[in-house]
Amino acid sequence: MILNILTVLGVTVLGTVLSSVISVLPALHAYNVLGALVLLFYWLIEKGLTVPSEVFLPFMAGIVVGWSMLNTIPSILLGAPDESAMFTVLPGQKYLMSGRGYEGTMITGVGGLAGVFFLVCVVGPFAPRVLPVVQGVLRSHMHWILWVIITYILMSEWPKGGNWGPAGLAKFADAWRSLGAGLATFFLSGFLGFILLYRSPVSVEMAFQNIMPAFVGLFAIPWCLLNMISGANVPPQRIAHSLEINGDLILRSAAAGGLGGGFAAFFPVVTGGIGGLLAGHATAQRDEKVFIMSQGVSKLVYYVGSFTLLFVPGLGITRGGAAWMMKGLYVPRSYYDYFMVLGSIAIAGAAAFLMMSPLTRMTIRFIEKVNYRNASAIALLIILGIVFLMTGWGGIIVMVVATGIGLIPVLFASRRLNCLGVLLLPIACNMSGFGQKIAMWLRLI
Amino acid sequence: MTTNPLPGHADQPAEITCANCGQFVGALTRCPRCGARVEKRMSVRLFRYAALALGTIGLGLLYLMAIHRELPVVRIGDIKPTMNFAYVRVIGTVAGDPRIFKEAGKVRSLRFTVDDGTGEISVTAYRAQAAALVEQRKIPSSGDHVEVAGSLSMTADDDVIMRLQVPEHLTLTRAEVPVTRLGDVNGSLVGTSILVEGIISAVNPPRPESRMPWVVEIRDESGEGAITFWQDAYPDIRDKALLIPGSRVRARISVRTYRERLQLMLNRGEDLEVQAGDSARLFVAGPGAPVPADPTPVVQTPAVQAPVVPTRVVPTRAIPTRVEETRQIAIVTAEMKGQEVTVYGRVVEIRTPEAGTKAPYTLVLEDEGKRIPVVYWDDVATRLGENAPSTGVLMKIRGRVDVYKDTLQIKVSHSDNVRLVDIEPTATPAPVGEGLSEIGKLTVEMKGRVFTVRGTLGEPRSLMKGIIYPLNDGTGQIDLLLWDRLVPGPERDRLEPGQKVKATGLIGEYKGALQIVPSNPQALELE
Repeated sequence: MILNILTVLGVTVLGTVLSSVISVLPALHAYNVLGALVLLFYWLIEKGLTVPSEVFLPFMAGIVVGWSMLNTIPSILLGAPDESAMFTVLPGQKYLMSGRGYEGTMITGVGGLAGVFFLVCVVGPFAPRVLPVVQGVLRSHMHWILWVIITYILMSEWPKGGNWGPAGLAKFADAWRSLGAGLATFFLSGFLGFILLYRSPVSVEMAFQNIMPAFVGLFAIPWCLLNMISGANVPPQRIAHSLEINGDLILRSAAAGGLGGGFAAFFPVVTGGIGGLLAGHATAQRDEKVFIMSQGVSKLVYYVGSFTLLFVPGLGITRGGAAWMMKGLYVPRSYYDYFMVLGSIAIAGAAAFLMMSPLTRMTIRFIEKVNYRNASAIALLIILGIVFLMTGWGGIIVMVVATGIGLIPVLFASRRLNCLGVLLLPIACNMSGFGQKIAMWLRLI
Repeated sequence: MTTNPLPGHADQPAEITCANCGQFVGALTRCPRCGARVEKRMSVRLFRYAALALGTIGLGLLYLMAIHRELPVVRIGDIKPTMNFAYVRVIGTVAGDPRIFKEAGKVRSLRFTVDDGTGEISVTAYRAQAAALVEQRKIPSSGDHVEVAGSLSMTADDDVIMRLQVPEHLTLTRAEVPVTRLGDVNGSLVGTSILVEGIISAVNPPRPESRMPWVVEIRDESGEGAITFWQDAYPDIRDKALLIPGSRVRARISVRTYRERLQLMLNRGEDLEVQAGDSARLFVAGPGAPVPADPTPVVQTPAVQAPVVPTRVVPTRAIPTRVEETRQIAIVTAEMKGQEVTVYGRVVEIRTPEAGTKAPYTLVLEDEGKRIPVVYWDDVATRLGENAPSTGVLMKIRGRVDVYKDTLQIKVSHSDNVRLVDIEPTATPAPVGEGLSEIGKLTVEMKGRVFTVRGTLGEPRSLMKGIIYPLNDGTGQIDLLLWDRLVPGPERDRLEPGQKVKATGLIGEYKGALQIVPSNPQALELE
């Protein structure tokens, strides 16, 4: 047993350290790396080698937790202001533009740490008793809740033009340009989602990564391109020795982010972006620091929470890419797995937070010496390589098309969140019972 | 704020800031602060519309590519975990009979197994798709050739299923099945689907309110057999009014075993064809039943389709060998002493005589709370063969009413009058185990012992010959394993995720996971 505990401890830290490498590369998602790891495990199984669950469960938990927390570093320090930031520059980027990127990153990191506490100490003990009941109550209502979320996403977009000049068609068109781009993005993404669900060009041998090239195209590549072509003048960054936060702020952030992230983790196909939107709308008007921190909480609770749900005894639901990949490798059965994963999350959370400050300093030193546009170009090449190796030319085709769609909100100043139509629209239609009819009408099946 | 820019920022193009107020505007063409128009060079504008064009045209081309792409055919043996979510086709034959799960009378899912020679895969259609298949009578039978397309879903438990998304993606070619003589039905046919023909010799419907199956006894020149079917199959039988002794039947049935006996199971009502035989024309089965004027052929008239309530078929005109009136045990009285009666009942007790005595064998039958002893002697007991009773089974007894030492009893004088009817003992008492236990307290060391657990059902997983529900009581989780042969489909239709149940069964272990295996439907109670 002692050996088991030491193994869990060791591989958790190892996974977290690996995640730190993934995290600081802009646009590289933990799920891309997890996909490659899962392939490696399948290969080992084919060769007759079995990897004990005490090795790969904590390892994957370490990667998910570490990435969820440390990914804040490139998103603040290497992220050019985009989308709605044109009007209300995201608070994280406000920190960056005022030379306080380190402080912004660390505040978000504190949010991540609060998220780990929320999951391990608040959700963990009650989940096996409470969540199955909640799931039982909500199961038959999921479809309409999903439509409400879609409506909320579309209706909460606001016009970015039409404020100036005489009234008339030109002003009207100016106002509707970003709204129209948002709607176009959502429905084009949704259409892409239908195609991928029923007739993906990705080889059937790699079907478990069907959606990956689309996500890379919709989110990662536009981010790299934007960094490369349209970055702002980033001033030198200062290293702060204290953070302007207190217990009250942390509690408010944990409550808002935990709610948003938890909602995203629990509901099918609702992602962290939507959880962040909910958390942001709940807090943005009050305090920027609460907003930043709640984003950290929300992101961590979404990614780690959705992964953890797979292990909650008696719940039996699978949410998020990591859990779906894990399910192909291992089906958790008992409290043994549950407590092992909770323990790994706690250890990984601590390790990731301890790595946050040195990694942030390293990244700041890096951008002070190296043109980060070049770093974005290298990151772009890496993710292109991953997509090609895992999904072949079929995946590249999907990625190129998705990139076209993903660039629309970036260039027309609407929200990137609309790209989530790739999952939301087909799944909401399926859950409402008419997805197959639409697919038939589209001649996809 | 923008002094001493970082590397690579010194050569920022002027067009990303507002010429009027100096605000950063990025790709926008109007400054959000002062509203001044920001002139962009052509390349930026081009990039914007190029992205829009790439998105829409590319998506259009991808769509055209998708709809002209043939769904790939895969060999079942080649399916790998990385194919999870793939939308593929498989071509093969149906192995075993399909199972239809119903809930509150509605079809919840339909499942069958396809074998293409390289392996087997379970194909499942849910709700609307399953209901459509049932409605279109597109339910495959064992041996049918199928081509089916759907999305693959697999877990680490090696549970691989294909989800049928649209009924049209199931192409069915019915297998030509030769008629098998009843005398030729033997153990080698177990697991196969065969066609049998014969004359109905007796029809044993279930009692009202019971969940017992129908049993139709048939015979041909080579032997006898009993076709068993569940009550949900009854409404789909065409010409139900002709389901009476003397009628000729033709049925596609599955050969199964239950407690080492062969069972001819009719899975769907439409697989039973009934034609009026000569003797059947002497019967009137109830209002609307056929009274054909012309002996042959039997022409069905609208009257034939009249609804027939599923109750006992009591002939009113006699075939001498089959004249019998079934009685409920409750209405057999001492006043009927000397009369011959037929009763149904569950065996609650068996008493065998002591060696060297002339005492009879005694079965105690129970029906609706009333009990009656049935007695017979060695000459009957030694000839019972497959009809030998066991506790819990439903028996049909024909005998003479008698009173012995003030106790009412039925005396049986011939082994033909003792028939085992219900080989799915729905009334078998639940096994008594070592009592209620928290799931968390069960361990592998308890393997082979019987326990009772309470908990909430999780999402089920299909097996080849059964289904697994995770059962959780808050202290731990155990797999509730329901084998088809022990807990049949109709019993399981009542189960759904989230439901609280109490289960009694043998504790087992598979791949490190604890299982509890109820041995009959009574071992499973909804709470």
